[in-house]
Amino acid sequence: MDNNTIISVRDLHVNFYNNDRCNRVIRGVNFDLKKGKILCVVGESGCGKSVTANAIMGLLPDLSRIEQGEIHFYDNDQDIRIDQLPRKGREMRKIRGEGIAMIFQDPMTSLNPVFTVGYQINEALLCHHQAKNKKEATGKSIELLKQMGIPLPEKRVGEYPHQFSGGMSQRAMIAMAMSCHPKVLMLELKNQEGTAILLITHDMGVVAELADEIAVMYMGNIIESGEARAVMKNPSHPYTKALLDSIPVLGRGKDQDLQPIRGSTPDPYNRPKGCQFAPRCDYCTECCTQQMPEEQIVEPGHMCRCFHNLFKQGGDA
Amino acid sequence: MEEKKKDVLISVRGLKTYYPIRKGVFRRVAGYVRAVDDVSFDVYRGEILGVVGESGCGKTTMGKSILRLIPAHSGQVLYNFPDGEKDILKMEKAEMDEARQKMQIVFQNPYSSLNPAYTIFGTMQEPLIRFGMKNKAQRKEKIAQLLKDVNLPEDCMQRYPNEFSGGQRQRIGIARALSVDPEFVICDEAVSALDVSIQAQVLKLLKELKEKKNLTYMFITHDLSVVEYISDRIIVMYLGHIVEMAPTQELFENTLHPYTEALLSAIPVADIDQRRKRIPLQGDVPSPVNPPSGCPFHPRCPKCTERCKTEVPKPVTLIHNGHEHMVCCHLAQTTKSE
Amino acid sequence: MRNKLDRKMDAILRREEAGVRRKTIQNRTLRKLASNQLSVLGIVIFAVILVLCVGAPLFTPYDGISMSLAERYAPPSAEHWLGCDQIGRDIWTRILFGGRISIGVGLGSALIATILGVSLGTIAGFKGGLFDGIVMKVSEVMMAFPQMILVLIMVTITGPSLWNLIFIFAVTGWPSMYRMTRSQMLSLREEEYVQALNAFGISPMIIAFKHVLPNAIGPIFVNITLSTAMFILQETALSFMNLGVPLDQATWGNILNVAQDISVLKDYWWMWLPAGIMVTLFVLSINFIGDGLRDATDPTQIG
Repeated sequence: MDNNTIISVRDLHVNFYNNDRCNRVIRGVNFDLKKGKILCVVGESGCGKSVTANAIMGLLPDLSRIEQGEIHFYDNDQDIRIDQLPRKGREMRKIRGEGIAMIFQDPMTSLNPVFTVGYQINEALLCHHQAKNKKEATGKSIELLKQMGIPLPEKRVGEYPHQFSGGMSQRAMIAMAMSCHPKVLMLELKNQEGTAILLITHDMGVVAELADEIAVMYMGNIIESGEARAVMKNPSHPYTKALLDSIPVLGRGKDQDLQPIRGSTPDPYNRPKGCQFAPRCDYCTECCTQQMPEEQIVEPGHMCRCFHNLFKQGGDA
Repeated sequence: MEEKKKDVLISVRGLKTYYPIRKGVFRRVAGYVRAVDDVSFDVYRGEILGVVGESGCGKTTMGKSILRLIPAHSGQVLYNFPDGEKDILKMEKAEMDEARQKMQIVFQNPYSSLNPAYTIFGTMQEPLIRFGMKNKAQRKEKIAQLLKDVNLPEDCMQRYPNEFSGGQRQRIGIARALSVDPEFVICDEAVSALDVSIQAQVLKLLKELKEKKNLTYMFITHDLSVVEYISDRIIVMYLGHIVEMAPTQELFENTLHPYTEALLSAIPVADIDQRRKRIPLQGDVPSPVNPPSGCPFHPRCPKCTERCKTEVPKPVTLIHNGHEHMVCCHLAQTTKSE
Repeated sequence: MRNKLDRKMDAILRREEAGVRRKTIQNRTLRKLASNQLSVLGIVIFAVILVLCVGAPLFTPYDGISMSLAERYAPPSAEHWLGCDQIGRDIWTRILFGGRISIGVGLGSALIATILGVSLGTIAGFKGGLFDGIVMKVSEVMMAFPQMILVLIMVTITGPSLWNLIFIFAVTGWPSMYRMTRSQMLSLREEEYVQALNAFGISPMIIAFKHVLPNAIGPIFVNITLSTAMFILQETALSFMNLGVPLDQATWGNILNVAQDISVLKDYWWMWLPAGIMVTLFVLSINFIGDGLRDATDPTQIG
């Protein structure tokens, strides 16, 4: 374990128990989040990417729990086991905000419409002892809004969320999340400085643009992960490859050939027995329908869970 | 400039859609949101016309105004019927019935565009009943055929929307739009709410259906890579105005308007070799209630001049490499028109 | 809290691992209702009382009208389970027959108020504009008007009668139904399927009643149950004060009417206590059902 690691997730399993059924949403996920790096978790809706983030934040819904595995949070050489903390306890509340901040998908509903934006950032600052009094807090709030590129921060700080556009609300949310200098910032869309960032998205454009590392999730497993360039230029899992072939890329013109992935994601209550992607996979063979492949290292720092390793020496580039 | 050989299906002329802002006890009209502010363009038969712009630029309002789902303030939408051009916006009810069968729309949100209280058959038969298909067996047959066209099995009919995935729902939405055999379909962010792998399925399907049924699309989206993939021609909108309009390749290779340039540079591209320098847009989209004087883009434009602040630029159509290229910018007109 | 949830999750996990699918009700609303113990209890009590009242002649040998002077003030006995009243009528019989009228008045008024309020609310909420404005103001006036005064006026004009009561309840009850339906329609009309129907030129009334209204049915049902309970209580209160159903017809309120007499209240508990318990039980059961329905139709609650 090198000391740049801030969050380490080991063999995480999470089940949801809605509607009297058990849904194994996360089925053994491993990853490390390193200081100053942006890790993009990519996947379609229902693949478990948001659940992973919520598990780290201790924000899982009532009828769900971590079945096995570990989530370590390394805070000043302290090893905190997030999976063992009570979800609504004091330690967890302290970690949320001071240690890990999360920005939600919909900026328009994440800010409380009855308070000014400045008031809400002040609250976060005062609550986590980042400012001694209101005056100091307001000064810091203005500074944060300015850093986020919001014009006229002195005026904006006294305005209500409805006076902000979508993009500005998003930036105000980031300002609020950054207010307590968290070690990890979890974004469900856009991005920021020195902290480690876990970026959850399905937009390959954002991934290509920002990611240092990529983890591709499908139906509760990370099926491929590694350095961004390695994964995007030399995808080794059929799903990653299919995903990259299925999206139009700006600049490739009208005649680019899109290859849609056939079928749709399986019913989570009626999952395939072996590899989750097998029913939609062009490379599927007998063994794929029997068991989920283990993690394989295809090149240093590049992991893939597939029996039919598509990794090519040297890659496309 | 006389190159009117193409078959014009719809001519939009001076279309304005304003939303009134009401204030006070007596709900007096205190001002207007100029959602669509004087747009004019032609839609050619058989083409896919892409419309792009940031959220709030008025692209969806424009599409819905053409269909009269949102009442327009003024302007004309001339539709080329077999018996001549008619203004959609001034049609009586009976005429409008005919128009409704010519023009349809596919919506953005696959979760709210199907009624959860009805089976697929219940939802899809409504337009058929409306347009006089009284026989239930006949309706069933027609719906089965429509579902087949969008690659869904016939037995979907008896199921409820909540049993389908987003992509399947969107295909049902497409089948519903096609149920009256329209010639013109507006796709309003039709793939934006779908997962990336499903987007490709639906985009391909839309392309296939266009060929099979001789459709004309107006494809409204904020996603430039999608619009580049699907459109023949692209309209770029900003604050209710058309700022640039050109065939796809021409627009991307010979961008004239600074807004289009900024938009193209701001989009993250799903190609790791294309990490590049951006032209960050200053500030935010101004409010369409109090649009800026002069060119609507001038407060954010990196190339803004004194003239841009006072004088509204007129749309000018240039011919470049044999393509009509419309642009609404003082600078483009002075530098490129010689 | 955590432990209870953990046990529930363990149970589901065990079943899932054993491959047994417990026979569950597929409909989510019904399943949630069935797992709510209070509302199941409510449904049972409701059903028992309803069956007893509707099938009254099957459960009693008397008719509840004929008097028997010999049995005035008779205490509970084998012949008269709950004794007799001051003119010798069997109380058990009167409670059963009275229940027919009381439940009929409550349910009937609630249904009429619902039809009125829901129809107006659907049109007003969907179309908005002047019609909505006028109906809204009328409903505000109705809700601001003391109901008791309205009852007194009606009774002085036409004298107490069963139909008067139903009429008054319907007139005073529709505004709340109207407002609820209207607010539902206001949010539902923004759904894209409504626009899709508009794009086919389908008439707004067909869209509103055939396509949008079915999606608001959950809250409407909840409101019907709660108004029924309210109207039964009001009928009881008005009859107790001789303002409701005329005394010659047995209703729960009319049975309780005798408790105005302090000596009856003190010495002859069987003449009023059972009727009181019956009203309380019935209203409570309806409220339990209503609460259960509200939770069950609320999509934000887990289950």
